[in-house]
Amino acid sequence: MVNRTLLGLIRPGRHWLALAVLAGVLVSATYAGQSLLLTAAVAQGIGGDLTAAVLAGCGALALVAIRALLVWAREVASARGAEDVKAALRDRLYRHLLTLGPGYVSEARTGGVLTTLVDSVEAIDRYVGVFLPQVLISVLGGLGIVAVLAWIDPAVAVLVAVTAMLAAAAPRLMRRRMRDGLTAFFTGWKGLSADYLDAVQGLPTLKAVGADERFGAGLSAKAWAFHRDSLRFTVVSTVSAGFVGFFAALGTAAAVGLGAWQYASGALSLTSVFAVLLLSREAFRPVTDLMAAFHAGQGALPAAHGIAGLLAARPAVADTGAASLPGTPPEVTFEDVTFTYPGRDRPALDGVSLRLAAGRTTAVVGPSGAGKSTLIRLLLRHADPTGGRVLFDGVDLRDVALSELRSNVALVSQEVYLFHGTVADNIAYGRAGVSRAEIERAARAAHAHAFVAELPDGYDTMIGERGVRLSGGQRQRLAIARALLADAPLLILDEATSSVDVAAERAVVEALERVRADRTVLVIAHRLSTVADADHVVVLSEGQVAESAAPGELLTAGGAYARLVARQQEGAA
Amino acid sequence: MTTAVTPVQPESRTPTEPASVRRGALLSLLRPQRGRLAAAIGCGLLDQGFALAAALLGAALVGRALNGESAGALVPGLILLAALVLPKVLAAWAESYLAHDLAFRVLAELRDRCYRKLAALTPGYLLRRRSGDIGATAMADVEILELFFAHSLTPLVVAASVPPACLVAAFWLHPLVGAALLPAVVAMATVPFWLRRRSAAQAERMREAAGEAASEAVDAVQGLSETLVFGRQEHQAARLNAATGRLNRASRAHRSRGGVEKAAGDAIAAVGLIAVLLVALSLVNTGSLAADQVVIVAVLGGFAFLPLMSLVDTWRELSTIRAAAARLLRILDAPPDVVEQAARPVARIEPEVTFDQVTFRYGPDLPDAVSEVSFTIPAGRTVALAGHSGAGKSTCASLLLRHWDASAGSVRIGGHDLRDLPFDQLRSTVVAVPQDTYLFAMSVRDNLRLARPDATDAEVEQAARTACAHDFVTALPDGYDTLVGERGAHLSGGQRQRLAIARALLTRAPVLVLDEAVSNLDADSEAAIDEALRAAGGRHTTLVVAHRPSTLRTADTVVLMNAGRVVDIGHHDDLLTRSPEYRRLLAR
Ligand SMILES: Nc1ncnc2c1ncn2[C@@H]1O[C@H](COP(=O)(O)OP(=O)(O)OP(=O)(O)O)[C@@H](O)[C@H]1O
Ligand SMILES: Nc1ncnc2c1ncn2[C@@H]1O[C@H](COP(=O)(O)OP(=O)(O)OP(=O)(O)O)[C@@H](O)[C@H]1O
Ligand SMILES: [Mg+2]
Ligand SMILES: [Mg+2]
Repeated sequence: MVNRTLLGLIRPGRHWLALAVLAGVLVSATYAGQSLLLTAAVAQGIGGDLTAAVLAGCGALALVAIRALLVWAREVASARGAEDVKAALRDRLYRHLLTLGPGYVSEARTGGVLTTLVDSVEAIDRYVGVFLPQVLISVLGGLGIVAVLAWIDPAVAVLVAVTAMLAAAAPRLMRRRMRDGLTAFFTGWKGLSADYLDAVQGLPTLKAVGADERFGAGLSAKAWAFHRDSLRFTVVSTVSAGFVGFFAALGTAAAVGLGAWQYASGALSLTSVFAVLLLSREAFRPVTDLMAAFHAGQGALPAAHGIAGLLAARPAVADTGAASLPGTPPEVTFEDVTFTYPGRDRPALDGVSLRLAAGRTTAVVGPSGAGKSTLIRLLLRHADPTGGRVLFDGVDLRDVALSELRSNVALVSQEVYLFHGTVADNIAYGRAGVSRAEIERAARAAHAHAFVAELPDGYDTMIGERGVRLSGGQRQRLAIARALLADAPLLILDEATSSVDVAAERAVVEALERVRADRTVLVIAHRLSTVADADHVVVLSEGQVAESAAPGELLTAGGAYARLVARQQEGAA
Repeated sequence: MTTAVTPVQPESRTPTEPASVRRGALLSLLRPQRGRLAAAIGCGLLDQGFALAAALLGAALVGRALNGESAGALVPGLILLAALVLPKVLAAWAESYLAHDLAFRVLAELRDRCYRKLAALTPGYLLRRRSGDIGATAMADVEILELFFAHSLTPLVVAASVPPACLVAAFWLHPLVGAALLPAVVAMATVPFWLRRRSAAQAERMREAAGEAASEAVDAVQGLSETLVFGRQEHQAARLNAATGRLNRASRAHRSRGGVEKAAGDAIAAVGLIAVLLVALSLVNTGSLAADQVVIVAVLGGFAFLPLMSLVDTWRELSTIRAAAARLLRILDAPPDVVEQAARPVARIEPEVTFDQVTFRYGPDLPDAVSEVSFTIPAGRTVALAGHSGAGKSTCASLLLRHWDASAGSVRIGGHDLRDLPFDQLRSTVVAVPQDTYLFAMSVRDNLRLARPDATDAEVEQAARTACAHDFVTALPDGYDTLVGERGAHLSGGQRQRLAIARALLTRAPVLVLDEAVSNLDADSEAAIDEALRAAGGRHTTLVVAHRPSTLRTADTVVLMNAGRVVDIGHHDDLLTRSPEYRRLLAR
């Protein structure tokens, strides 16, 4: 029940949690005290001394007041402790995710990672804040009360102690089932979360092909499967809680019965019988509280599994390099690079050698699936080549610190991702601490200023998740502006203008001409008009370099490139 | 024709609607579960009844012992006492099972409804909300309702019956005993209402913040590679922490308030017990109560509060439940942008598409995205929409799918206004390949068969061939059974687009919308797809949106748009010669 992973996480909240334990133990003490005072009151009252009885009652009332304060303090302390633990954990998880990089995220499902980052972290709240302190409180409080009972009536104390132990131990009988049930529940939760997120994000597509109802039927089946997982787990969990309740009830009844029997046989005084009556109920409070706390916090156990899993994941590439880069337009060389995606049997790149000359624009063209975007992934070190190497100004990429590499590259990827926020926020994402004037300059260069100015709130218009409130070409131009603003010596454009009109594309290309002088540029495009002005063209086909020369030369050579161009012109004539 | 109907305008810039819980909305879900609910409540009452009986029996035994009965005479009572424990535990277990079964059924039902409603609200509503937030409602908010359905109904009934029963017994023992117990019981019952207003505000903030934290996490995960390449890790971590910080602050206040209520409940119960004991003792002193009855009074004083305590415990979360329900109802009650107005399908639809003076805007305070657009696509023909980025091409495509209704004018298929077609018929008539390709985390085959699960493997293959996808698919490690990853992450951009085209073709709908469906394809594949579509033989009436001259040239007619208006219509070649604007668009 006490989980190693979770115990290892509580450091940031330890002060508050210690306070919660202290308050909890004191609360137990006030319960015991109250029972004893009430016993005294009854003894005195029945004995005829009403004043003494009232005095004892007032003492009990004072304890009640103190306890109210302690109960509140405990609640607050445990909340604060859990909060600190969660905040630290969440930050750690996100930072770890950052080191795992895009490779990890593209393999995992967003919904699954999201569950770990949000739901799992929330799930440990009660475990850390309530259950863990309760373990100490119950042990200390339980021992205290049994000690008091032992002082009054050893026989009852033994009986109570034994049944309390049985009650506490009973759930262990079902440990395996509990764990399986919990795991099934949490796996179901994670899957359903991921499915719902997928559904919400994919609904426009589902509707466009008329598949929303059928998809809904599948989702519904999963929701009902989750109903079964939930119920199965609840059955196990209530049976185990039932055992605790059974022993607690049996113990209380037996203690009372034993007390009465002992009195009847003259072994116990009236006062003691009363004390037994009140205290035996208190004696089971630690057990039932512990059980309740466990039930409140048990969701943390499978959550901890997910958390540990994420934290244990190792990045696809090791960030061990230390070489620094000069920050001038780099020369990038692919030396006989081969790369196969995990799980695939054919290499996506197969012995590719090519050079991006410093300060020049190199275009990579070729059929869909040729491996163009893969080149970029290797250049950004989402993965390392299976064979050969990539050099950045003569330095093997593996010897360059990842942060150093990234600060030298700006990218417009094939799948544009914009963040929820304003137009300005999104352009400014390219570089920290930029002025509005710089943002606007970048927007102008990306041919975006005109349409942004027409939006209802201009640069302060909210664009919605992923920029859904913009047209496809508008999103792409914001992504270009963002990359231009980053002002990195290597600029990579992967199909950056596929969704904008030819005229806008021309404008962007012309703007690029101006910045090109002091940058190395890598352009990937299917529309060959985009690459006609490049200094150098590489034609990639099925993971291999088919041709490589200046565009003019390639045209006259009459190879693959010339054929592609002819094809497009024939289409456009 | 129904052109007079005022369309619902999507308000793309309204943040969120005010949250309010429809009275009884949650309870109405219980109607089909009446039987289970009644059984659960019955078991809950039995549980408490057995417990109370056991306690009273215990008290009576103690009382008899005090009156000097011999130990042997107590034995049958003691055995009965032990025997009562088992049915109590069984009743408690049955209650829990029944209540949870009921609750989880309702949750599954709610999740189902939530999805269906979201489908009806797509895409308008999705523009205003974030997917993480909506996902949090479908999962976490719905799950919170379990507290309501499984943990608060039976306690409510038990709390409404056991304490009064204890009170009656107390009054019967002695009116003053009852009078001493009454105030505390009443006070206890009011605890959940003390801080209601504050608690409601806290809970609402908490649930909102939870949704926001999920939304930020989605951005953090899906935008990870942008974050890394632009070196904005700190910025993104700060955003995530800010969202969770808000959640923490809200829940801290909530817990502190809960602590106050918990302390109050505990204190009231203790005060009640002390008061009733003291009164009983003074009654014993004046001789109006037998000494052995003090024990019974103690038991009653304890039991009157137990059900109320557990009620206070669950009702402490009542405001959270209400806030979660309000968030769910915000989706369930949102008015859809389009409503189904026709019940009966139209007999036969000639696949001829007409845009007639169509005007539309995305929000009341936004400019028209398209205005007075008119053009016709004769059956089996292809019309291309051309124009600057942002000219309104995709908007026309969505209008043809009836994602929105035009604010003026009408879109017709075969002479029928789209509003006169049932949704089913419309969906089976028009399919689209949207500008943003979306593949699901399933196999290639399942992705293709989404819209037609009954398609045979041969049909799937045929569609893939037409979309020039068959060759690369067969080269994948598991062919058509290869998983494509989230959003198709395991494929190249152009491969994703080809699968999207194949998926649309497989539906066999007569009207096809291709919104930049080949923007990421090389010229060869594009030409091949075009040829294959032609070879499929004029089966489709097609609306294509394209920027490439190569695509525009192959269309029968090009509709040139600018700033939401149609400026010219004609064949590519004619437009090239006569329209300076068209030449400018193509940079000629
Ligand atoms: N994450 C991945 N896992 C497995 N295979 C992948 C993955 N990403 C790409 N591939 C495969 O690697 C090959 C090259 O893909 P890449 O994305 O580099 O193509 P591309 O040249 O950019 O094509 P396009 O022009 O269509 O974008 C393709 O066959 C693709 O299916
Ligand atoms: N959901 C939305 N909310 C508000 N405005 C929108 C929304 N979607 C599109 N717009 C605006 O409506 C106009 C037309 O957009 P549309 O997507 O139809 O353009 P498009 O012609 O398809 O452009 P592109 O070629 O770039 O895809 C644009 O100015 C765009 O900013
Ligand atoms: Mg690519
Ligand atoms: Mg568009």
